[in-house]
Amino acid sequence: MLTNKNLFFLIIQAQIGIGILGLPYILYNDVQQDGWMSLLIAGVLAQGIIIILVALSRTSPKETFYELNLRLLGNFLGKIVSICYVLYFISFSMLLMILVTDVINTWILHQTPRWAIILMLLIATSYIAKEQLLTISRSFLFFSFWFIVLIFLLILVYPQDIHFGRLQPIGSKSFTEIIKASPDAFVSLIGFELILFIMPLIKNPKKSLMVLTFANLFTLMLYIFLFITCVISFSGVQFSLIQEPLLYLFRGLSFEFVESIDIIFLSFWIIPISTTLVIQLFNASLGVQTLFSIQRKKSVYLLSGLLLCLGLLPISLTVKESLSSIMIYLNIIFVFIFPALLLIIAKLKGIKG
Amino acid sequence: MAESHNEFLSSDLTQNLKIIEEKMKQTADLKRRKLTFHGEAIILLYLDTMTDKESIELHIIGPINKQESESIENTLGTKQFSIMTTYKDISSSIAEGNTILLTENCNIAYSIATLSDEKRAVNESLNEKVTMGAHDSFVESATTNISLLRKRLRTPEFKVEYQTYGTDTNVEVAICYLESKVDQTVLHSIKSRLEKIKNDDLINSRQIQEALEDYPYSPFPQSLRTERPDRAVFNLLNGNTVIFLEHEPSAVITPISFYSFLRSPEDYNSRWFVNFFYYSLRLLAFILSVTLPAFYIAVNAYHSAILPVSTFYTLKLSVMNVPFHPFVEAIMMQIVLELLKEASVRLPSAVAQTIGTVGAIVIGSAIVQTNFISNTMVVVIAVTAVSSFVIPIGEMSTSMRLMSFPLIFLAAIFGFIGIAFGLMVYTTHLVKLTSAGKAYVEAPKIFQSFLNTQPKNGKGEDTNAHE
Repeated sequence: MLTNKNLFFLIIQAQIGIGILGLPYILYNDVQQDGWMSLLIAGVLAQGIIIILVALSRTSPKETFYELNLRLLGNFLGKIVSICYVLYFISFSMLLMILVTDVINTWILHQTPRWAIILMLLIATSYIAKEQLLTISRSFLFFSFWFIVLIFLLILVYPQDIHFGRLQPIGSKSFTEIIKASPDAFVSLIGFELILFIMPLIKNPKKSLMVLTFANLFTLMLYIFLFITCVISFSGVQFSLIQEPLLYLFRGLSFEFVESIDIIFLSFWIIPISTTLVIQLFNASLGVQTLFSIQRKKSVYLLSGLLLCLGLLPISLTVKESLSSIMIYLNIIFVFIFPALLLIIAKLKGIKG
Repeated sequence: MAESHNEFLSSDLTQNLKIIEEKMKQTADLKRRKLTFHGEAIILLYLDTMTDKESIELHIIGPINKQESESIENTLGTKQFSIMTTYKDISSSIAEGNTILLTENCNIAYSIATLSDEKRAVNESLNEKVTMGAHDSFVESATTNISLLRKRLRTPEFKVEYQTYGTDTNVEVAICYLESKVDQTVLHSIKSRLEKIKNDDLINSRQIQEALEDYPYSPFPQSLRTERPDRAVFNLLNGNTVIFLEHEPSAVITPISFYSFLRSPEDYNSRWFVNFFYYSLRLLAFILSVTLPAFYIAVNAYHSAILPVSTFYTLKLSVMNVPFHPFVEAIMMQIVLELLKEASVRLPSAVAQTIGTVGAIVIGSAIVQTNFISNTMVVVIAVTAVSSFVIPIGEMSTSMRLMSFPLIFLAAIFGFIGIAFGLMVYTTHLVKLTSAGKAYVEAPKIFQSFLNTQPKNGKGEDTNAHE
């Protein structure tokens, strides 16, 4: 049974991942220094969705989302929805793998073939994802050490060449522009949908909303802190050129024994990135388990085999771009619209939690 | 056999003797002694090699010859004995070192405890040394070991249970715990696990450990084997269970947490900041011994860019003339080190010093001069080895050193990323492990643990442990 602490670390690890590398770049190029407002809006949106998700899973706390929609939508429709969800998680993992291999290939291992990195990633993540959720969450607690490292490194940036004036003028962009940029920020906050699948495993379901709120708040504060640190460190011209501003921030740091912190940081940032993949694998494998009644362990292996095959396909830049732009909409459909519809159906059917 | 329908003793003495000797396979060390007691013939049977002859002479033969009393029971009054009626009981009783007394025209036998108690004296612990604190260590006798614990724990709560396992070896296993502190569900699971010991040839503590451990194939020991009574007592007070195997000079402690392997009994005997320092040092040693060689290889092979220019040159100068990949270098050096260590353990201590000299001077400096292995690599491997030797429990220390090999391999293929993945898998594996159903690794409570206060039962190291 998951305690509140376990749940908190599961959620923040699911939320924070590869998005952190490019988030300031994307936001800055949309709305410049007002990006933090978009972040805030995305955070409020995420909070609203969290409330919906928690309300939905509370209608029957003993069931996972897959079981719930089988019951609410009937066998046929429910199965289709579940399959769609599994496919959504697979494509999310797929995109994640592509992004990770791209970053690794550009920054660290220039020659290593894509398949080798994907294989490595999948072995490590499926090893974790096949475990019980409690084990996963307890190891995530240890992995959260890297968040402390991240915050520490971000603080070290402050004595460097920074200009708080770059944050001004505040609110120069129109409100619609700021809102338009928020879906980009929202992608990085995804991960809390996990609550739909783990409700039966939580020790204290009544507190789950509060824990999720704190987790969301933590992630949001971390992103805003990161965004502001990036904005005050880079000029507008620099921002348009560097796709991974976070790594460039750390490139500037140097100590007596170590230079280019960026490489070390990125190498070990693979761990929080993998945890996102672990969660996606977990969600998908739970779906496969419910749909085809295969052991969850086996379904994790099946899914990682499938992902490996997908990863071996040659992927062009256009495919990657279109996949990531589709994902933005898919996220909103699967994390927000579907559960909201299901909640309405559940309420109409008069089922109470 | 003809006796199968007749497994109880008959009144015929010669017949009885014949069957017992047959049961004992006519072994050469089975001695018989003939006496008379009030005109009746008495036969004593015992294994020459296992019994205490002085005690037989003093407590059995002496009183019988004096014929002080009418009955044999009264004559044997000073000695502990039991009455037996079947051949099977008698033969196993002889095998346990008891003396069997048979009388003419009588269908019962007396089994008298005469096991010779040859014990090694309680010596200083060889493998777990401390500078401060008690110096006694366990010996090969479970009763002596339990008495060492009892002397420290003078409470009626201290409970011992004996069980015999192994159909061939019939070894006694003692389960000790404090009734008031132990978690009954954990104790129950330990006992049911011990029941499942299938080995006929139970002889090592390792076999007990295998039965107790939830993941016997994991490289990390999930039960702690110690030679030190003070460590055992400390764990008993924490509500853990201590298991002794007769003829093994060590105690198996379970459930145990990973952090206990990093503690020495000395810690609890020193000032809090000394305690804290050494505990942190051992945590650091753990991290170093697992990751340091891998880190060095990753830096050397992939990420030299992270070094400042001056350090970079030092490193490159050192590896310039070495013809091997750093991975090969590291593996070679690790193997040399393991060889030296193993050789010095096996040899008598006088010769072992020579090995030290050979290792340090001949191999260490010559291997660098011949450019087989770089200077920095020797330093790295030496630091790794020393860090692993800091760990107080030998079993864990070896595991740690060996756990660096997969990381070295990963670092050679993927650099830092390989190490990150490796550490991820290691962490998950460690977190997954349970010891007698309790969590093996919890988030480190470093600030709580350095205080000398002992954790209260149920609120101890593993509050969140029950899975």
